[in-house]
Amino acid sequence: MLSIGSHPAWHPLFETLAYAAGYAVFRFNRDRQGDVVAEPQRWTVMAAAAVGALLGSRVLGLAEQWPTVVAAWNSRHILALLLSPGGKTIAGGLLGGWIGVEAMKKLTGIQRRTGDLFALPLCVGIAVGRIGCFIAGIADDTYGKPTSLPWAVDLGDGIGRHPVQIYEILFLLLLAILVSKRAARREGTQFRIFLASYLSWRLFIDFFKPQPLIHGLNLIQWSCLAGILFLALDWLRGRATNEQTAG
Amino acid sequence: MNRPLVDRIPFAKIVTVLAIIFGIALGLCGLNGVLMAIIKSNEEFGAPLLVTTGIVEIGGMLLSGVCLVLTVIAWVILSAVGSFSRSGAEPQKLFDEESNTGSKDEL
Repeated sequence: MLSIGSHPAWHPLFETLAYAAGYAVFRFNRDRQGDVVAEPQRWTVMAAAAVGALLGSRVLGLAEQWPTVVAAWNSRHILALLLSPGGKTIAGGLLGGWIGVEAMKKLTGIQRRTGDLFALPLCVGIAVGRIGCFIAGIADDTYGKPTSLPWAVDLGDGIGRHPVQIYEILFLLLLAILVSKRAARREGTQFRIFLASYLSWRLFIDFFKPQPLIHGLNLIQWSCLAGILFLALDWLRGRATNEQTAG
Repeated sequence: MNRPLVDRIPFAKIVTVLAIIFGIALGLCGLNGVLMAIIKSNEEFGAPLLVTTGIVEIGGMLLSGVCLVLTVIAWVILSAVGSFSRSGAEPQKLFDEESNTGSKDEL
C-alpha cells in the first residue's frame, strides 16, 4: 500500500493551476483552429459558463452531502455550511456551465455551437485539479472506497483505498486524445463527445466512492444520468432536423 | 457617436474573472483545516496565523462575491438600457426625398 497522506493545503494551488492550464490550452486551441464566434460573444459565453459552473458545482456539491445539509438546517448552521470549504463538484460545474451557456445563447441570440473549444481545456484542467484532490487525501471528499488491491493508497487514515483520482486522470488523458483528433465533425460534436464521456465516466467511477445513496445511486450519478439522457435527446433531435433538411 | 456604456465596459471578462476568484476563494477555506491541525500542535504560533488566513479567505470570498453580484446586476441593467437606446438610435429623417427636391426647386 502506497502512503500519500492528507495535504489539503495543496488543493487550492492545484485548483488555480487547473484554471490556468485550462485557459492556456483554450488559447492555444483557439489560435490553432479559430473560433466560430467573435471575441465579445466568446467572452459572453465564458462568463455564462463560469457563473453557471460556480452555481452548479456548489449546489450539487452541497446536495451530494444532503445528510450534512439536513443536520445543518436543523441546527440553524446553514450559513456556516454554505461558507464552509469543499462541497464543490466537477459534474455539477459542467452541467451548471452547460445550462448557463445555453441560457445565455438564447438570451443573446447566438446560434452557433460554441463548446468545441472547451473540450480539450476541460480535460486538461480537470486532470490538473484532480492531482490536488489526490494530494489533499482524506480531507477532500473525492477519495475512493477501501480495497486490498496492490495499488491501494493510504490517504491519511491508514486504510488502503482505490486511487479514484488517478483513475480519472488516466481516463481524461485518453479522452483528451479522442477529442483533440481533428476529424471532420459537425459543429458541437467535440464538446458533446467530451460531456457524454465524462458524465458516463462519473456514473461509473462514483460506484467506487463512499457517498450517501438514493435508490442505489448518489446525487452526482443521478445528475450525470439526467445529463446523458438530455444529450441523447438533443442528439436525436439534431439527427431528425438534419434528415428533414437533407430530405 | 459615443458607444453605449455596456459596449465600452468588458462586463463578460470581469464576470468570468470574478467567478473564478470566488470559486478559488471558496476552496481556499480548506487551508483552515490544516492550520487547525497546526494549532493543536503549536497553540501560540497557530492561532494568529489561522485568524489572518481566515480573514484573507473570507475577505476574498465576500469581496469577489459581492463584486460578482453587483457586476452582473450592472451588466443586465446596462444591457437593457443599451438595447432600448439602440432601438431608438436610428437617425431621424426630417424630410423625405420629395420635400428635399421640392425645396431645391424653390431656390
